[in-house]
Amino acid sequence: MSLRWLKPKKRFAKLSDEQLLTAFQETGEEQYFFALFERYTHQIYYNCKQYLSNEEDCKDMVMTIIEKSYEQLPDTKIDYFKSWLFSVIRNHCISHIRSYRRAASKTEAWKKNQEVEEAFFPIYAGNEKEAQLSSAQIQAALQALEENQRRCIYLFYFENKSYREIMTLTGFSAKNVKSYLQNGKRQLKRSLLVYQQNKS
Amino acid sequence: MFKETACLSLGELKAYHKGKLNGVALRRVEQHLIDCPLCDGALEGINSSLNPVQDQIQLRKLGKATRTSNRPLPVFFNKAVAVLLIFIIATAFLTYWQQTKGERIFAEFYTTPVYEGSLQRGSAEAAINAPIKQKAIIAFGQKDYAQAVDLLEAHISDQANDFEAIFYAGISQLEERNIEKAIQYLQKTRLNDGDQYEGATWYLALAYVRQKEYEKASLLAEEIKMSSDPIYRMKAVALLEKMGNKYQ
Repeated sequence: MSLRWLKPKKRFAKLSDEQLLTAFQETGEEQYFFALFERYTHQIYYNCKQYLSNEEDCKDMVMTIIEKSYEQLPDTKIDYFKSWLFSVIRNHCISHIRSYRRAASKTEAWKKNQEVEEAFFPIYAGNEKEAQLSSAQIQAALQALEENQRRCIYLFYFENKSYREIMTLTGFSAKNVKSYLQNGKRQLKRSLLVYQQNKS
Repeated sequence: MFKETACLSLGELKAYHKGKLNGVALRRVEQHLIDCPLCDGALEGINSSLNPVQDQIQLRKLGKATRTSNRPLPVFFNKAVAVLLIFIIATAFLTYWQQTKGERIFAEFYTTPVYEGSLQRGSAEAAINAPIKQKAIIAFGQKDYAQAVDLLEAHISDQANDFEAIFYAGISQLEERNIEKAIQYLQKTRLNDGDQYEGATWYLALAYVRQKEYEKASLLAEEIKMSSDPIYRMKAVALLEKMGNKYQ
């Protein structure tokens, strides 16, 4: 039986992930689930490719993740969908590699990703003014960063340089530039969060 | 700096991977990659892919598969399908029951009459006077109704007023499921042969039952109810009851 009519409608484009998620949890209607997951099919697929070198394993994993999500979502409390999805992908891939003991050519990927999950939780959620932090506090937070991180953050956010330009200016590899930026920004968030909490 | 941005599309990721972006588009992608491990992971996946064409095929397949996979259907959908199936089955059964009603009643009441007419099978007189009719009666007795019909019709073409032959031609046609023909012969017998009246009327009623013309059958049964023959009267009452009160 064809279920083409369940294809997500364009009208869902304006709904956020969390709105679609809530709609699916409240109504159980598949259309919301598919509208939500259609947004992330390529992310899921390529994230799986990070972990699994075998093409078929990768495809099966995407299907497994979508099916498991379909089963789990109705009864799962999720504050931030992308973060939840990222954890699901990572856990399933790692579990798959462990259970089948296949050679994982990119084991570094999950070690790195274990640290970055928290990066999904934006502290100001797009409203920097609400934080009401002084420039001195921001400067202090920047100064607290490790040297390479601070340098990359400065070049990227204050000098508007691209990754490639930062690579040229610093001599760092592309991987390092991104790593310094991600870790530096996360560290900066933590510091600013502490200032914010102290203030309140 | 901490403003959340929308995730990267496949097109953006691929364009960035190929180094085709610059200006605002490049800025958006690089800013987002810092904040979003999901997209960053996807970019890593694209970077590590050995066969981009194969990826594209797989992604297209996945898009279709996620829309048509054998995931569980919602409860309301299953219930609706179950109700619909029950309705279809019930309707089909009722239709079948109604369609076969005539055949069921016919089979319950119909018995092939035994020839008790003027010709005795195998008699020398019959063989001389009506050889075709005699053969027909033999064929009728042997339940070879097709043969009986052929012979009786040949006989009737010579002797159009032999209503006994016409009656058995009607019965033979009824056995052969040629209902229209059977009705013609039995009607003719009923109206012209006083001796065969009850028998012809009864079998005519049954012919109408078989044709699902219950109203005509019930009118004939009502007629038989008034007859002097108690056996036919009983049969007629039973037939009317079977067809339902509507026709009584």
